[in-house]
Amino acid sequence: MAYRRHAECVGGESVDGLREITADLSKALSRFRVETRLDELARKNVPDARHRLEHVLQMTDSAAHRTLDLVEQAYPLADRIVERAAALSSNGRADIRPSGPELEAFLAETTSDAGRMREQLSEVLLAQGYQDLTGQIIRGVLGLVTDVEATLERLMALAPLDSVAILEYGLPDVLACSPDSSTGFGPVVPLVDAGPVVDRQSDADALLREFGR
Amino acid sequence: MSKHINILVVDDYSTMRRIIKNILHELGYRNVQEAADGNAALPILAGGTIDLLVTDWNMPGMPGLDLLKRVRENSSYGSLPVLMLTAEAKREQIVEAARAGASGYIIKPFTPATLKSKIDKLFPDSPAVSSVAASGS
Repeated sequence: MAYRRHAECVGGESVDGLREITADLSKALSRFRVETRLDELARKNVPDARHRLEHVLQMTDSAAHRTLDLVEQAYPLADRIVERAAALSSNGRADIRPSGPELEAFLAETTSDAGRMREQLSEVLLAQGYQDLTGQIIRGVLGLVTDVEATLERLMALAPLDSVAILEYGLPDVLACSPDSSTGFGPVVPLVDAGPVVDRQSDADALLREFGR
Repeated sequence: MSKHINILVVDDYSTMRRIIKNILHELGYRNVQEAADGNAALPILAGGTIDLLVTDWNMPGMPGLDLLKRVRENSSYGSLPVLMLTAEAKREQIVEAARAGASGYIIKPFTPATLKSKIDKLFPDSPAVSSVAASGS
């Protein structure tokens, strides 16, 4: 109290006036920072997120069609095995046992068809890998949505000219959420991810060989 | 022929863990354990029974690169073979993984044949043989 009365007598400005100027400056700085962040979100991060989600749509569409293709290829094979077995069974035949050549043909054809079906099942298995890749992309977009939410809250907090609220609110710590080389960027998304990316497994193998692996 | 290598698969996506486990099963590797992240993996590794670690990179909590570094720092299992199996494809990352001691690096989406060749390279005495891997490329 005593200090303030002393300060009020020093120089031309009162302490209250100085406090008001500081608050106005802080207000302007906070607004500037929020607006800069919003600009970056609008110009870069949100369009990136849109490209990412479009890529997810395309990946899930491809994976579903691939799986359906394999299922459609497998159905007739299964049907053929059932039909052949039915033809060989004692039902509807005058002679009960199938002949040697008939059996041999059945075994050969069935082995071949079952082998192909097995390959198709393996391909179906691999096709489900889309869930992991699209999941990583979606998780990245969720991070952005959280970021946008926080930034909008900051903006709304600045709207009423309440200097106390302005001084209280900081800015979202976006750097903590940003992906980097160490935490991982997720699968490559066309139009979004630039920079040197390895295209083929052989390129990755070559890089590792340089380190003696 | 059953391969007696104990493999630990680490990936935060249960679908991917399931796919990898199935492929390993087809390749003859029947002793496969799973962990959803590095923190769950470390106690399993500490048990000392794992012969090969296959890990994703982009995982919350402890990214695969950090798990790799933790493995290499460890005195009892520091020389464990570690295969990165990940969608991360930037050159700088592959270099970083190599520098951190990755034994191999497989990019998603991958083929069973690629996984087979990397494991065969690390365990030449018990190569996996299966009709599935031979036909897929």
